[in-house]
Amino acid sequence: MNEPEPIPDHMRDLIDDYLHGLLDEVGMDELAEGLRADSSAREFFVRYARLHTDLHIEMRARDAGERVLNHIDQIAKPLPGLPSSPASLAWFTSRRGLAWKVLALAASLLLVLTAAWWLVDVVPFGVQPRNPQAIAWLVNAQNCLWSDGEPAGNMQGGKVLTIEQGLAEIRFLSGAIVVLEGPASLELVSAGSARLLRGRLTARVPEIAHGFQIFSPRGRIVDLGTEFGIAVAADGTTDVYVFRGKVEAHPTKGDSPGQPVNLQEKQAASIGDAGVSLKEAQPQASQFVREITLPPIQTERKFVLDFQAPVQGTLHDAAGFGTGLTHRLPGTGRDLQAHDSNLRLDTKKGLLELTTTNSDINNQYQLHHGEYVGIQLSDLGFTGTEDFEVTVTIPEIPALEVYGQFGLFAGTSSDHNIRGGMLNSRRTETGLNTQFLVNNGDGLDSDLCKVGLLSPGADLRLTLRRIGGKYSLTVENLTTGSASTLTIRHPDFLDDERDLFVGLFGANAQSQIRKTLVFKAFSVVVRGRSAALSVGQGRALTP
Amino acid sequence: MSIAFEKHEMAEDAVQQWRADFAGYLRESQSRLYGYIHSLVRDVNDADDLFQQTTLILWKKFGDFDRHRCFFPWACGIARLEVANFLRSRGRQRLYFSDDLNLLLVEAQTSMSNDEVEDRRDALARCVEKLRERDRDLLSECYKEVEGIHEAAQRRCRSPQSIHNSLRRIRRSLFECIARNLAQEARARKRP
Repeated sequence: MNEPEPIPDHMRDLIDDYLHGLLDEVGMDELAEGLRADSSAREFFVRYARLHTDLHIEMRARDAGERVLNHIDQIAKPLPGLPSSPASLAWFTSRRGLAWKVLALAASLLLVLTAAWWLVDVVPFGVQPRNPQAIAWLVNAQNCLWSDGEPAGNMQGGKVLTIEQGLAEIRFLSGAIVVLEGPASLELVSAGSARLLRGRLTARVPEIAHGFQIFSPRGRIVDLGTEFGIAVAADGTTDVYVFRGKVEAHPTKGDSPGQPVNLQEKQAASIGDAGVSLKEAQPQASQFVREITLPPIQTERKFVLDFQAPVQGTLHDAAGFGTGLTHRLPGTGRDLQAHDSNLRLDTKKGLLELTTTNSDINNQYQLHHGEYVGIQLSDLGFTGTEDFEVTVTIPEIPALEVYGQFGLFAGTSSDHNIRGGMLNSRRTETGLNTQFLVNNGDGLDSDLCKVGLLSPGADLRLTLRRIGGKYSLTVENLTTGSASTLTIRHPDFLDDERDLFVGLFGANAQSQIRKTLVFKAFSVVVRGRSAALSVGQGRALTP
Repeated sequence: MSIAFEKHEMAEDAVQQWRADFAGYLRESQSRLYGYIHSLVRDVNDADDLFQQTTLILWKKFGDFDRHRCFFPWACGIARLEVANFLRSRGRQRLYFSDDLNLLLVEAQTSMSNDEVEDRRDALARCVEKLRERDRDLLSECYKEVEGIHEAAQRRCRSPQSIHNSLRRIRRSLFECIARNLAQEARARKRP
């Protein structure tokens, strides 16, 4: 019925390559020619492209579904002490058709909550989806007077920021940073664009965010790798000044876009009714505020453990020595002994050994014996807004089994955290250790980021950081001298949380083979911007 | 843009009606519109962004929309400009179809009904089930994450090109399987 006529193999190949971004200009021309000439080729093209789209949706749904099923499995596990009830699990295995429907429903729910929230609702209706994706963050504000109250840290598309006075710094998901100077009004359009309704701003656009755009009533400015300032007057006339790099200024006349003009470093232009006109540059530069200068960092509280002496009043190892670590991540380790047989402090060598247990933060699996040990940040004067960094050295990393993992965490509880380090996400092979970073906002892992392969036996130094409110994980390979950093979709559920715990962990998540990890030189730094961290607060933590 | 401001002056219930109308049109077209954008940019994350951006613009320009005409081609026209701007700003305009060809492609998109899109997706789910486990795993790895193909290649010690070749084979077999499924259903419907 709807099937298009068969088309030549060569055209099919071109379409396949096109969908995977493998076509060069010559191939592109050839494909365009073929499509233009033949309506059945176009019919085929749209359906084949649809398959490509559906595959993305289907595979993401399956992935999400698998995680949900694990979660349900976990919930369905009998409580200790009660007779086991295999009936609940049999329901899943014997009635596959039904189970699949439930799963598909659950998966689609999860999908809606994560990747494709737009499928159910769109922003303009004022009906906020349950977990809309933030496209920008307010990272800094100085003397700001907001017209509609200070916005939340995370902001979605369609949000209009209006300040009467002061400066606000906004970081977009794409990486671009905008400093808005009041009085001004800015509408956030997408992760890579915004609309300046009135007032002034400067935009700093790192390489990763090239193509960032600012719309104005008279046109738009497209970044080509740069820092630029833009001002919109009451009548909509738009002035642009390029500090570094270059931009493209597009005038809009009515609804028809006019001829774009390229602006180079230190050039200024005005976009008005008559299109784009170049201006004398020099007097323009000083009118823009390019960054918010902060008071110098005044406080830095540091916690260091070299494991060279036991510390009284801290978590005990198997022999009863105080490890120096003071807290477990809430929700973990409930059933572990006071003398934890999985921990061994070796003061001669200055190290802490941790033997992993069969448990997993993802799905909250058997966390009653999960090993997540560290400190509470409030002991370092942390009040919820400061930046911090946690570092540990791990010599001779083991070859991890299936979903074996270790590293650093930060969070308020086992189902509210971010963690990263090394992971083997292969189902069958041992020792394929990959650097990872993952959010866990509701007991399930989300936004998993992975990179690279690190050989077993290497010495690593891991650092989990929060800078300007954003998290990242750096792994330095001390054996080879290389390093790489992972960033992740911002875990907004941790914003402004005061009761954060940070520390180290290890788990043999989906195998029974336990590994013993060695941790050395654990340290935590909390950095305050002002007098928020008063000296004398907290405890003397350095052993 | 002027429309957005005019809306502020509209009575509250008129705005509600306006929104409801727009929601109706958008729900009817969003899946196909997303597919259209994805077919032009081919990266799901870019498609997500552009879809969002496009829907915001559609909302703002909704006053220009002639209700005697079809919404989907109108929406595609606006999406087309957004995609063109986006690709140009990324220096990728050479990998974009010219406007005349784009219009032909919108026409081809329009020939695919919502029902057909749904039937295709249902059939796809069934066809994926029939794949060999190996092939299903590969699809899953390559499609669920952006860097999937490179990671899949690395894990298998194969070149990205050879992964592309496998994907091409799997996609074609799925496409044919979907065609067979749809033909069977069509025959079943014709029977008394």
